[in-house]
Amino acid sequence: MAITKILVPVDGSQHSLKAFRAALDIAKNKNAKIYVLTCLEKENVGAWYIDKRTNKKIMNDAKKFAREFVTKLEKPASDANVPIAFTVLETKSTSNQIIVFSNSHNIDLIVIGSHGRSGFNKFLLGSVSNKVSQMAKCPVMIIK
Amino acid sequence: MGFQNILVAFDSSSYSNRAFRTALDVADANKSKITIATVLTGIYQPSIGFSMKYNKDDLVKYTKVIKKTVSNLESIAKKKNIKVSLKILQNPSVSTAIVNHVNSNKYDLVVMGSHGRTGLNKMILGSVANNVIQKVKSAVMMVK
Repeated sequence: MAITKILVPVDGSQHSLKAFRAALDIAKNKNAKIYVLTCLEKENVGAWYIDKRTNKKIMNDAKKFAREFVTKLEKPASDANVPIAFTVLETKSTSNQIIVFSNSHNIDLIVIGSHGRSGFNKFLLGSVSNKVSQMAKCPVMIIK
Repeated sequence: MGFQNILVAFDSSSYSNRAFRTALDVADANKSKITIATVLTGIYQPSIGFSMKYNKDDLVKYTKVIKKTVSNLESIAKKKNIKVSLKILQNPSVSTAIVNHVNSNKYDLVVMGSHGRTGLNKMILGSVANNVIQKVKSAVMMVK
């Protein structure tokens, strides 16, 4: 089984950066390509009761911010000679989007942090990583 | 980082065979050591449940079977110059045995199949895999 495409879902948390570093390590050895995916959840914006335009503005700002953040990851990747692609998506459900993305891009391995931005319990898995590990069709590596 | 010490939870099911092959793939790049762990759950007696008391003959027999299976894997690993060692754990609960062993030894990565010998549903994880993924302190890779 050759690993040529690695998906790293990133949300800016410590865990996801750790996962990115681990993925880089594998990709360097395997000459694999890394796909970095950031999902913005539409439902979580929460300004719908003020004005729909506010929502849109927040979403656009968030997208811009996310793009800026993920492009910071480009330097370590190019230092290690690993091809990398960034995707920022608006979605209703992060975990579903990750699974759909991995299926449609024929991903060989998903490397994901055990918790996202809201994880506090070190003992159990976060909800997104739990769902991804259960539903994904490819191997999933969970970094703690 | 880099995964120097890899544990493969093995029960000779097709999933765990695939897990072993994936572990070889990862180990090949990092020049790491692989430990294959198998758990003997004891003999089931309806009156007291699983007991850890083995006949000496039985234990010898089981160990022989395990060693035979693992020697096949070892020969595959030898072609790639990877060291493989075997660890036979004894515990009535498979997941507890694996979790305790991993947490008390220095492993960087646990590779296991998403289902064991009794996996039915392809969509969700097997019970052992789920248990291990939640409780283990090192990174975990689920192979499907």
